[in-house]
Amino acid sequence: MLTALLLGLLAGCGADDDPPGETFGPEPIQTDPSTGPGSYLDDAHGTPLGEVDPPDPAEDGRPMRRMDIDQLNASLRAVTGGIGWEIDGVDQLEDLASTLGRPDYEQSTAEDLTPSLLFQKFLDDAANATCEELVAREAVGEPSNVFLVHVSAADTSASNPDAVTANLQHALLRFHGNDLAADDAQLESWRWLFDTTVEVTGGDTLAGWRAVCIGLITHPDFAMY
Amino acid sequence: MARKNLSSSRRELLLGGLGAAGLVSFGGLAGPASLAMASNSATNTDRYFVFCYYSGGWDPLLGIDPKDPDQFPDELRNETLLQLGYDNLALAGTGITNPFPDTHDGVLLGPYIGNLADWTHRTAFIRGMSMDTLTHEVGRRRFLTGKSPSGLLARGSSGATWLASLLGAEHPVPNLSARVEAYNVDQPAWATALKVDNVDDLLRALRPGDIDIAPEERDRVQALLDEFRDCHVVGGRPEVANALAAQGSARVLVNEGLDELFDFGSSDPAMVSLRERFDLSPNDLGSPQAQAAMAVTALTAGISRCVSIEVANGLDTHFDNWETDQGPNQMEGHDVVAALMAELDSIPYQGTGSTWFDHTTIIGFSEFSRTALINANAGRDHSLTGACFVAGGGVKAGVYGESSSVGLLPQAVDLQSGVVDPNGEVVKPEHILRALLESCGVTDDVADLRVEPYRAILA
Repeated sequence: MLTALLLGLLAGCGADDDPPGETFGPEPIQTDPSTGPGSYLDDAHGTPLGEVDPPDPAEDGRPMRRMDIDQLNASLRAVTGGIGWEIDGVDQLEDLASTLGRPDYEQSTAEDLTPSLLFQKFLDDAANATCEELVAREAVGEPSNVFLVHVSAADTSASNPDAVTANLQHALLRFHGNDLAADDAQLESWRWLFDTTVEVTGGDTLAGWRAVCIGLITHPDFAMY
Repeated sequence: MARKNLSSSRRELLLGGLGAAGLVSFGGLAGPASLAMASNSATNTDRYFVFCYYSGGWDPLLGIDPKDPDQFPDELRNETLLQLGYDNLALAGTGITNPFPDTHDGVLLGPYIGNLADWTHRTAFIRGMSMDTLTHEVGRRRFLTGKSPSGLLARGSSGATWLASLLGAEHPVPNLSARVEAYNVDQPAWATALKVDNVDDLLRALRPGDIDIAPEERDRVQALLDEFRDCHVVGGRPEVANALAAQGSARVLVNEGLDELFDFGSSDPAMVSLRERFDLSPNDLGSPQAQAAMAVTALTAGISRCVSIEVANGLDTHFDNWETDQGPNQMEGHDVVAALMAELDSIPYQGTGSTWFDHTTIIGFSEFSRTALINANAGRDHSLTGACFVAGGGVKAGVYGESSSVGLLPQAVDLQSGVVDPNGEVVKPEHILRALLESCGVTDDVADLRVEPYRAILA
């Protein structure tokens, strides 16, 4: 039932597309087909170049790659307000840097930036540890909170839907740089994660927010670009 | 501890997770490669491979390609352009008493061949190759891929990746690599090597993290990520789908509890015995010995098809460390490989009456060899000439090719017989990789290596 609901929410698979109508970077230069290049430069088949369909963005440009270890470590600490993946004071991403592809400048000089199985496993571990600490730290509701900014531990989608929506918007902007409107369909999958986690954990809203945090960090939009 | 193997149902479970990764590949399957895959696949699938890398550029004169000092005396070095230097070797503390080559099963081998000499009857020694480079990165990548790199950048997928891909996705980690580079540019994502720095890291990869959330909470997160993945498989970015599939596969592997197989530091009697056989310290799971134990375990427990390990390092001996370090460091690697062979040869293969060594091919290689003349610093520099050995399943033991008697240069051979033949071809890494592919029944040049296989070494 829950999965069916999620399938419905994600139907169309547009979750990672830029919001319609929004563009980033400089405005494209508009040319008049009657005076632009297309009017006098045609391809071999006689099709005006100005009328050729643009390439599919997904096929254009370089393949996506992941952050390097230094970038990941800095990003993790930035979004969590300083919490990194540490065990007994040892920075685990530093500890695993060699295995995760950081060059040693003896045998290798370029960092391996493939999102490998090993990278994903340790990203998962990092997300679990940092989100556990982040939610525990912010559960008391301090003004300095960076994650639980618009909600308290008592808020659910039933009791305070606006607060939950506002916090999801805030989290997606903070973790993924994705500025979504309150009624954006992409928000629904994250709301589903929060609501259903709260439901299956017997009303534990902090577990719900921890799941959202882990989902945000382990989602490729966090570590890939 | 009883040897643990994956049951078929567990394999299916793993494939469920890994199969998604196989739906898409990094960059997709290139057209020619996909066509080749469709027209040619491995027919001999009972094959496993271990690539053993000797890092730094070994000196074959001390190991697999020595020369007889009686034939090449130092007085003639202006004519032979060859200076054996066996008298210069520092033997103290090495356990070596005779610094000169010796004959083992009819094959002349160097003084630091170590226990590898015990496996001469199962080993093809390939001499007088050309590596076409004096640069470490280029030589290493040339051997791994069978293709000359572009500058320092590897071109093409590693031989191990090709072999893993052609032998199928049945194993949970088809391609495992410890401290050895691995490349995948045109093969399915599941054939990409799982690269670790040491056995400790592999253990961590197979174990749950220190903080693990409740299963029901985990399930919700996973359901969300799975849906995102499915979206990207259908029409989005393949790299994103691959990343999410890899994440799911990592969780499946953790749930399998495979970590106990690699817990070489434990007090379990089976592990204590294994440590003794590999001369393995429980506190050094980054050692070549630990990597060799990892390779055997990964193959025989049904986890991997191809494993790459670094068995020796510290071989780049330009100075008088050639006298003190080259031999002992090289011999440590040979001893590790010999222990690997012995272990594989002691384990019956699936009730067939054969052993795992009969089905596993072990390849020992370095980036190039070292100069025939000793330099002014009492060391040896880089030489274009190469050598390697291939042992075990599918291999016809013997000596193939020969470095020249003047200057230790590469020499052309007849690829069918391995005999020096001026009308033949100079053997390069790509000839070896094609032979390995052919040993699996892959007769077409699917990896675009553009040479004929070195068939002389195949049984």
